[in-house]
Amino acid sequence: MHKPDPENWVNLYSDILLKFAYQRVNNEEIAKDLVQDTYFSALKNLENFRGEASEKNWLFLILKNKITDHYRKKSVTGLETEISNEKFYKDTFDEDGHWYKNTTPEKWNCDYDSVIDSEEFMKSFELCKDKLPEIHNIVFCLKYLDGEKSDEVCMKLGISSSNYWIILHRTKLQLRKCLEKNWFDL
Amino acid sequence: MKLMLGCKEATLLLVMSEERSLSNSERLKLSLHLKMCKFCRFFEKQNKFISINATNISSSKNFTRAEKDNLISFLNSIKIEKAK
Repeated sequence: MHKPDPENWVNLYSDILLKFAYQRVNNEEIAKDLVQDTYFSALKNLENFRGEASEKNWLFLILKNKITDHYRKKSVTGLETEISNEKFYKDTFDEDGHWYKNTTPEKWNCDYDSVIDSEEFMKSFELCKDKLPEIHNIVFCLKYLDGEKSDEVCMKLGISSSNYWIILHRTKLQLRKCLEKNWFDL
Repeated sequence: MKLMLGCKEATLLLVMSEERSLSNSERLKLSLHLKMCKFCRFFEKQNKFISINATNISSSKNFTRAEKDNLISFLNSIKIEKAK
């Protein structure tokens, strides 16, 4: 049975909790507040920690819930505005749904099936990810970093399945375009 | 019924097919479009590439030592409150 040890929480877990939160909310101040709220919640609910998970996993669970709450609290209009903003689609495809001459994908000089194990590449990728609008970013994180399936994501964020696909579609289009320009230099 | 897909629909189907199976009609239309559109063939490969590399994304954010000390004081003050 794991006995929680709040004395060490800050030194052991603050940075990894912060990295996790920041990736998902893209705002340093909010991310730091979420970590502090996590510690506060955990301390208040110490009696409820039954030791089934490690205390690290337990803290992450609390943080994940706080991140979800953060997104659910966002106004429905804000979400609708982001989803109904057709600008990226309009800039990428014409009325017949075809690529414009200047948006057509180029051939990349890489092995498409490989993982690129380089710090510079990761920095480029993170830079591109940082440009994603809010809901696009959290969908990206839930799917690719947390491995959540579409129905789990829809339930967590309170979005419809068709909006999920639109968000994911635009996310992949945007990341592709950004990587092509910034990493592959095309 | 529209037989020919545009690239916008084709790329959407490619993204969806990562997670759910397409209907027979969707699969047929998509495969026909890909045969004729090299740009969407590039997108197909690049989309997969992004998916496999996405899981490795990390972050370099850290708390400063001062911020950590503040957090420790904060938590200690809560513990004292609880003990009262």
